Amino acid sequence: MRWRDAWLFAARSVRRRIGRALLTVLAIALAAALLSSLLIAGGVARERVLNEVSRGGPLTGIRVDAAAPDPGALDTDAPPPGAPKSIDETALSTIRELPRVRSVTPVVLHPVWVMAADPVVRADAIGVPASVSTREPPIYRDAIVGADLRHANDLPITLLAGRLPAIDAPDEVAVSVGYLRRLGLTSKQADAVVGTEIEYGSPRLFTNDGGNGIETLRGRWARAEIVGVVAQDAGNGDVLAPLAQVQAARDWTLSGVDPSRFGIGVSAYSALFVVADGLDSVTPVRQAITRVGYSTSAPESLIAQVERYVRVVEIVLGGIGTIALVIAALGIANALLAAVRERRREIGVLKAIGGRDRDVRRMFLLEAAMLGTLGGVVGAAAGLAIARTLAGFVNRYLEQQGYAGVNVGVPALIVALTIGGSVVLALVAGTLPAQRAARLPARRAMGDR
Amino acid sequence: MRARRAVVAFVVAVFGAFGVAACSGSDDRQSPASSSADNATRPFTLVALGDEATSLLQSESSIRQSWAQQFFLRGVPRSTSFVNLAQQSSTVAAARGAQLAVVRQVRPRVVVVLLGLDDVRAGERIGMFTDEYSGLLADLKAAGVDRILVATLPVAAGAVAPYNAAIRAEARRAGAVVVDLATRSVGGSVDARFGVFVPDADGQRTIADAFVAAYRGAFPDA
Repeated sequence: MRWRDAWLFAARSVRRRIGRALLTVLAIALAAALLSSLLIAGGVARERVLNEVSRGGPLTGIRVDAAAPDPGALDTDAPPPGAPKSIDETALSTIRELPRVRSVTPVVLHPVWVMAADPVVRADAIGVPASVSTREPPIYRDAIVGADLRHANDLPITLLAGRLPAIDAPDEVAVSVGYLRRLGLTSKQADAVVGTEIEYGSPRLFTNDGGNGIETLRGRWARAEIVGVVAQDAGNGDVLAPLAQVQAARDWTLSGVDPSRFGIGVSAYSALFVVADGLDSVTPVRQAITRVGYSTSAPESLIAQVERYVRVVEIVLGGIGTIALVIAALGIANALLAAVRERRREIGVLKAIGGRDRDVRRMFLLEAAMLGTLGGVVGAAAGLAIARTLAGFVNRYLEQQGYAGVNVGVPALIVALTIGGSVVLALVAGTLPAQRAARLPARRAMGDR
Repeated sequence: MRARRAVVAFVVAVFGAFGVAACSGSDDRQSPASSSADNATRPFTLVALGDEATSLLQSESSIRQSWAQQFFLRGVPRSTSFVNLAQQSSTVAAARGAQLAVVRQVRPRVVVVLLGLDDVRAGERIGMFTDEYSGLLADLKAAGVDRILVATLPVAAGAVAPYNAAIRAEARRAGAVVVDLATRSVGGSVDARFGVFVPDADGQRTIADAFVAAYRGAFPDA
């Protein structure tokens, strides 16, 4: 018997007992949907929890402060920094060249006056109280955080609305949740400020302005469009801008008299964000940076602990789904055993006209594979739909709490595993009935009727 | 047969449900891309020179009221940076000494000037005032400033007519743009602390409007 004939026989058998076949497929689909939705939910939850722990940055991120290490607290996740120490270009390149370092992103923090432009929210913003849009835009002293946004993924930054500033944009910034709070907005209303403007002024001290020895403070003001809102832990400031913008502001302040009065140290960079090439590399990289002479912090212990807990939860969820799938496989075995009983005469005729044992076995295994494939495909689609529906509810809750939502894509690996697993289980479940049908003697099969 | 159809219908309905679930600017603003390109080729800095009428440094909240800050906000492209060098009790001669030193460091493309009110208060001789104003504009030119806007003095500030005539003449000679405040009603009063005319919030807005209109008129590319 050719493969094509075996397929036709199997398909005809499914068609002839369509009700039973559909019920069997439904059982597999439900089990596969349960397995895939649990695995997807577990994966998304894992990613979200670890993202929260690492504050939006990479799990292997290490913060390097412009300070010497505290020798008494090297083994902790966040040791108190020691005495201030400059991070210059030499230190930057030394750290970049350390083994097991994937990337190093410098950050500059600069003191500024921040002045929200009128209007503080977009005219078409929805759900913003009138008291917010009509109030006097605030002016306050804060800091602007400059970072090389080519490596934004390597920084502890989570986008809440809009987008990040373009890498070299001279007039684009993102603001943090702190800015929203100053306007009286919540992070749920983040979108309302996207498209508005701010002005920020960098201070500089002049002496002998009028030849009288009096010191005068001058601001260098810049205007920028707010293109996004972020939750960020890269630096203690409400405004996030491309590095070049902040360096220009910093150069202005440094050109004046005694910039240390504005809290500006001699360090070219306020901090570095180092990404190690794996979780196992975080400790050795931190030790190497400590040897170079800088204080580091990284939530490595916390991440390792959370990963262990999440792994246990994933195993439990996967186990529940697998049990459901095994029960569904037993359903396939049961359905095929019933089919063997009902089709003894057909098997006998097949053997009488020259059909071999392996032809009969192949026919039943193909029928099992068909049911498994169909159930797996439908189940994977249903699982994805269930996971997305659940994500919708979760996102609504997270947004109410002021957190970024979760994103359920199409996890190809889980979909492939669900379909593949369903097929394999169906084949395993179909082996016994197929074997029994194959070994049935032709005479006995015919005579029983 | 009927039972079989019912089972088929039920299964199809369940699958169907799963299937459904599964399928379930204003003219002074430029686009970020174009402003980035402009800035990459020509860094643009604006500087304001002035006295009490321009400095307004009594409090942080008054920064927003300053006509120079308003001009920065409404008159020039967003990628411009702005430095206000205005200083209290600053005659034209004093500004040449103190404020111009910073202009040379900053190397601005645009300078807006509202000076002369302290000269009026001090009763500076017109000849001296004219010389100093002429020197100021020449110094600005020498510092590489290619867009200079100078304002005449509001009539509410006192006997300003001869000073304004000098400002107009020197501006014409230097190729600077004249922003005529003498023909506008600039709200304000003589500040008791400085003894000089200081525009109020409405006056600051009027001055800013005049500068914006003059700038756009003289430099349509802005």
